[in-house]
Amino acid sequence: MDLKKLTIQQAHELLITKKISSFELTTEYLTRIKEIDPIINSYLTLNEELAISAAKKADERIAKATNITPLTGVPYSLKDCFSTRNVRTTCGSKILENYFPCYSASVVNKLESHGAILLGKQNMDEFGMGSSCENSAFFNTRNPWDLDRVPGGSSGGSAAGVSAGLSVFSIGEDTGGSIRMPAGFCNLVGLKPTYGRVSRYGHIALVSSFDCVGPMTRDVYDCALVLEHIAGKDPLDGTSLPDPTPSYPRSLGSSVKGMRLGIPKEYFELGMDQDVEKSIQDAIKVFKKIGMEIVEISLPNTQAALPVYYLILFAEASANLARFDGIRFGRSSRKDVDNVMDLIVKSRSEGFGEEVKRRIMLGTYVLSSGYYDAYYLKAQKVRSLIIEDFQSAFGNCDLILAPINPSKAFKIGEKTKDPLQMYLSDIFVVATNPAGIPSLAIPCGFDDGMPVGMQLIGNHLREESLFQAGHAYQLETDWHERQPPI
Amino acid sequence: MSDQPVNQTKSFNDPLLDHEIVRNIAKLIHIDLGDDLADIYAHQFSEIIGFFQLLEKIDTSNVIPANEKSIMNSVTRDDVITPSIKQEDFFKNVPEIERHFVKIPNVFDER
Repeated sequence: MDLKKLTIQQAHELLITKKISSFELTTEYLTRIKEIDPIINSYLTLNEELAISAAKKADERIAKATNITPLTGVPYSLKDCFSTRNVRTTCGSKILENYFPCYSASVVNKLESHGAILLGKQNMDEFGMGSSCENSAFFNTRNPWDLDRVPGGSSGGSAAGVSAGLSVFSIGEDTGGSIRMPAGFCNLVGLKPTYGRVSRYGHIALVSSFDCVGPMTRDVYDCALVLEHIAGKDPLDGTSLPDPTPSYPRSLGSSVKGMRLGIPKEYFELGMDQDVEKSIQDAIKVFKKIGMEIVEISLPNTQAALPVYYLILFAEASANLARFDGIRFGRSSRKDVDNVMDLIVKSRSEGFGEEVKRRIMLGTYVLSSGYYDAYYLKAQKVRSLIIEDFQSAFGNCDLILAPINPSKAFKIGEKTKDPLQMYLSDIFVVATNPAGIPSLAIPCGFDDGMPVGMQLIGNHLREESLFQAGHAYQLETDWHERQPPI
Repeated sequence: MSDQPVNQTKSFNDPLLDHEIVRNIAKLIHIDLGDDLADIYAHQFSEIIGFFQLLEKIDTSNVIPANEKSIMNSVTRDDVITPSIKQEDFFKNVPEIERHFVKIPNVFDER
């Protein structure tokens, strides 16, 4: 079986028609992971024993034909920022290198209740801080399309793993492009849902007001399917939305005729590689061909999105990461310490990587007395303007089309010495998070053999429209069906 | 709310970060930076904060900050007793335990 092609829909069909058992499928994935992952480095922790026993249970469920969902028996992987009971959870950091949570994130519990099989936990930039997976405290993950290039970040392990056929789908997390950017670099579909659509409970927080949990899949159909099974109100997350969860796959296939697609002119003034721009222009033609109306829109504060995003990120991250002190859990540097303050300083200094220190220091700076108004408060005001921009744009269009990355995946090591250059690579993806609106990444072309992605952005809770348009696009194109050489 | 700076409030035009400010922030967040890293950070922070100055050009008079807008009602739920994390489960991750307590080094320096 070609695991690089297998979708959830196909796996489900094979499982319920008993052409393969979940045990066999899971074993096949584990074998491929052992063979291929030493080259890609997408997994931080393999969950072999528990995966096998969960697969056997899923087979019993399928044999009895009770309580089966489209995810029952389907092997998946998880970005390592989600707590998993008794399974190591590092968040890509040395400070959590040997942390075994005593509870699981709500998204993990939901997938478990549907009988999905957790194969393992995947590499990421430390605490989600990065755009290339190079800020993982453990190792670099390689892009399956070109091993010298980054898979994107911070959900880079998830993207590289699914793309290389090392799981059927993955659950990532997007604070400012962390699902969409690696999806774009690795030829996958990835959704940053509306803020609050999926519970954040058990996710190790980076920016509590931006963080969104979402699926990374091979096609739009699978993405809709996973969202349907993980979305919904969770009493354990006060910010999760009470709105009922639609059956997302049902919205697929209906006509997009007359739907208005907004093209934000400011995004095209920011600059992107020629092949990226050509792919986006070609995609516009496809949307036009399938009956969508193309309208030019304006998002005047586009350039401000990056500073707004980073200033608020620095501030919230510095507060969220204050909890790591080496006392109750995580790395504890106790050797040669005289008092508890020494312990805290030593544990944090040894446990956090360079980028994490950089960001929590900048956060502390922008929140400090005297600078709060100039930086943090100013950013929150401009954030209001960005939200207004989107609301007014959605008066003229139903969806917005934008690039994801200004270029194809860059070379490993190319941007690590210059943090500002690395931040600038996020320019197209960060605005949606301060605005809380959903965005769907979809493959839309290739640049010299490397995948190019685009994003469709919708208004709050309009995931159905995103899936509808994305699916219609995929019926016309085959970019998403191409596989990496590995 | 006015955008006029109040007393003590710095603006984007103030000198950017130097080595000393960086070391002071490190102290506040309980991180020990070597001299080399403090120098590198001072340079990088100035560049990053410098780039962010483009926000200053945006008129935000009469704009309510996003975090002050009430976008959600308070979320409450009934106070029902549910199973909690077991003590032995919690202790599995604790670096040092004595009897039923989390053990830490001296709080007050005895030197």
